[in-house]
Amino acid sequence: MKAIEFSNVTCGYGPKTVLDAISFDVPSGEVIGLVGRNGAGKTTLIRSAMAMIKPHSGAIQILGQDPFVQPELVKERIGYVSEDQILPPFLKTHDVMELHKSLYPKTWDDHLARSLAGTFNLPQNQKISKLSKGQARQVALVCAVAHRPELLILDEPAGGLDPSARREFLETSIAFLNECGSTILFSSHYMTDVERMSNRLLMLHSGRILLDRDMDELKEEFTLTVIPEVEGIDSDLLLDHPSCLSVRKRDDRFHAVFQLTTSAAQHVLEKEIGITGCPTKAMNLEELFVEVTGSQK
Amino acid sequence: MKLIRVHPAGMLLGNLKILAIALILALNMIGLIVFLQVQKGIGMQDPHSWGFLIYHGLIWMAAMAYLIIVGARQKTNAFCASLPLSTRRIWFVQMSVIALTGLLFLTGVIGITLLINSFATFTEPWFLIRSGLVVWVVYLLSAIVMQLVDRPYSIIRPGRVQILWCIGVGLLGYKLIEYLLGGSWLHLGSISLITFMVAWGFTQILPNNYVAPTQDEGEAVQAENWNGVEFKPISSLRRRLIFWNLLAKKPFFYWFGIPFVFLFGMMCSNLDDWGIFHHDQQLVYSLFSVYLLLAFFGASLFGDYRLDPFPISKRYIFRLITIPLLLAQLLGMGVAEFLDRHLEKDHLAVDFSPNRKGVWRLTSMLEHADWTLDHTAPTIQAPWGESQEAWSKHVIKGVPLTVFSPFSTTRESSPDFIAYQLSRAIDRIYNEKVAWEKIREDFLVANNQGACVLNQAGQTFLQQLNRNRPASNIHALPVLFGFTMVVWMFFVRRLVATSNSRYTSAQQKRRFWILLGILFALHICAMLMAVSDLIRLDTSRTLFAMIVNEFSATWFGKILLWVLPLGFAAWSYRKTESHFKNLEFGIDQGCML
Repeated sequence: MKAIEFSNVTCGYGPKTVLDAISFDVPSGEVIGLVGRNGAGKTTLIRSAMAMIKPHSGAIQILGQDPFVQPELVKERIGYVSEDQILPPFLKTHDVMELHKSLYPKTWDDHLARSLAGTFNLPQNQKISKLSKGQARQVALVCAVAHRPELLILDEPAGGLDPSARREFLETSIAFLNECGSTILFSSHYMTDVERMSNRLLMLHSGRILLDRDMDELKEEFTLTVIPEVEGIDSDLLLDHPSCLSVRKRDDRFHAVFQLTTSAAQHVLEKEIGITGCPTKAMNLEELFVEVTGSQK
Repeated sequence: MKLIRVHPAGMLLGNLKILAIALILALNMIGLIVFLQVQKGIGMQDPHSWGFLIYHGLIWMAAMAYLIIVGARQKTNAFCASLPLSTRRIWFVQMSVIALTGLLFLTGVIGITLLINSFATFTEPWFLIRSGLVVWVVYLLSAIVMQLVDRPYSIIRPGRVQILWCIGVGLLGYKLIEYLLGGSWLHLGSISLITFMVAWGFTQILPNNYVAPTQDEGEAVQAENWNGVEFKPISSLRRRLIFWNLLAKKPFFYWFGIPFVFLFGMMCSNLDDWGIFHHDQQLVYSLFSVYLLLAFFGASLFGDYRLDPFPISKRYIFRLITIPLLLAQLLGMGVAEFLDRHLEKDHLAVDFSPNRKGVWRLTSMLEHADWTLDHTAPTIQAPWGESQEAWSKHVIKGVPLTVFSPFSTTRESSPDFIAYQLSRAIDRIYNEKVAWEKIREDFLVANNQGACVLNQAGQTFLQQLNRNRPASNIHALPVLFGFTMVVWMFFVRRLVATSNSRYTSAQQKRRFWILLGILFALHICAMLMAVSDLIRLDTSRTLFAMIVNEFSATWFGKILLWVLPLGFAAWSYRKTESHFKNLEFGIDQGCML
């Protein structure tokens, strides 16, 4: 079964289109990282999946159901944390968890909640308003995970968490849920987290999907080459080659990304485009993100 | 000027909302002045009734509290604090902005009021200008004094102290009304002097440096052991209360607002004049009730995004928002009707007593009046030929529908005619046959001025009859509640129609303010129409009482009276609920990409 299915979804606010006819699906059990620059449409995509925003056209299926028919039934099977989520500030940590238990009575796992709260070193009887931003976020994460959702949707879950808490959360919760067969969709600006945790990457740019690849493929398939600007070489020449994904001009050099292994890219540059002596190297996700999104207008 | 631009209070100057508030206040001021003129005109110097004070005080309080809180709350921002400026200079910049905004605001209010005043002279211009200046100085004074809260900090932190300040400003609003009634140059001078002295004193105790509050975003707190902790699901009622509080950005305002909805429920429902509220203003109060209900609904609607992540239906959220407001409104109306039923027993259904001008006249309960579609009321003729045109008033100017009292008497009526009318009224209202000759003989006498008056025996007789009469048969609650509901739901549907991603945040907010503005304008129009005699609220109310009474006379009518308006209200509610299902992410957050 597909956990998430987007078919030609167009969505926006007022006259502005934010998601432009995007289609993708996520099979159950997959961990998918959603990346993109600010304003790329990540949050809108997530809100559409949560039935908070209705698409102008296209169809969405979440866990095999249309989320707009009876959103509450779909949300019962989802755990959700967003960057701007507001927990009741007047409740104590323990009360917030009890509230969530009453909302997810069938699937709430006391043991898991206790274990995660202990791992995060959360206080029990402190009002949410008195917690630090990071601690409040941790409470939200515990609540989202402790009812063992079939689908966990996280919109910038790590914002406000210190590196150790972030790693703790990702390794404990996401890994745990994924082992149980849950599907996880999370957006993040931390490329290292995405690289480490997800097995698939969805890169958005200006409301469109720029890249949709398995993480293993990504690590091997993309090569960066830096070409000095000399007469006869321009970005069009490079982009004309089918394997050239993007070209970004920096100072007097072109940064070109090829969807090839380093040796294959070297071969293409020398034999097909006719440029020699340019260094090529495999890219990590952060470099790929900067090069690909930076080259887009 | 550059400092004003960078100071957080500077945003007040470019805030268009202030213009809208100024317009609303100007309209309100016209209503206030007209009301006072009318009260003076009929020799009823009673502008201090609770209804009047609450109504006008609420509006002034809201406007002034808004200006003061927005302008005075943040004493400085990080940028201003980083500049090499003394706190005294920063304070002076802030107070200048507040003073200037207040002056512009009141100039707007007075300007619009004078403009309207020039078309139909309600008051003398100096009265307005003087009152406006008094309001301005008091506003400045309260802004200065407010700086005492959290004195060393750069911002006044939200909390109980701030809330108490809001209430303090509210109370000040009441006093402002009094100043408006009789604001003199002496008032203005004395308050200006006090303000100057307070301002000077305040500059002497300013801290050397404003510090940022440390608790703004909470602090990391010591962890506890979670082993063995039990999680018990909370009750459905508690869950509702949590969600209800979560909907509001500032839950305090909800808890503060619900009593007002209750109060206006009371004010718009009472049919009998029992002295607390102005009994002719039901329509005005009803429309203002809807205004309040829509304002609270809108505020909750904008907080809807806080509940969106939870697995609860839109219907649940809709009921969460509307039911507390509905209950408050209904309870207010119910309490008023209950009190009405007890207090109206003290009112004589047939009375012969002097009015405010000392003229003795026969009055009967509203529901026993009559109506005609002829412009003129019929002539009442006694068996011996004496006749008199019944007291009558139009409902809408130019429309033939006229309400008249078939038992009215005038200063010129003969004692026999008065006795005849009393006999008819007693027969019709108490179903008791008393010969007019007996009334004339036993109960009517001439006083020192030669006017026909009721003697002690007559008064006792009328009171005795009144004591034995059954309680009023009128059930106005379903009609009034139905009316309020249907109008409220109509406006809610218009608001919800744009609460989706096809509209920008600005469009959605604009729609909300326009709808509120329409309701406010409608209620001011109702007030102005009443005063200008276009639609008479007293005769409308009488007509309403007559119709309700007519329906209440039979069981079938009584059932219709309950079923029709409540059924219509329920239909309207369900229809709105189904529209609410299409609501999308709350507008506060909806346009964040």
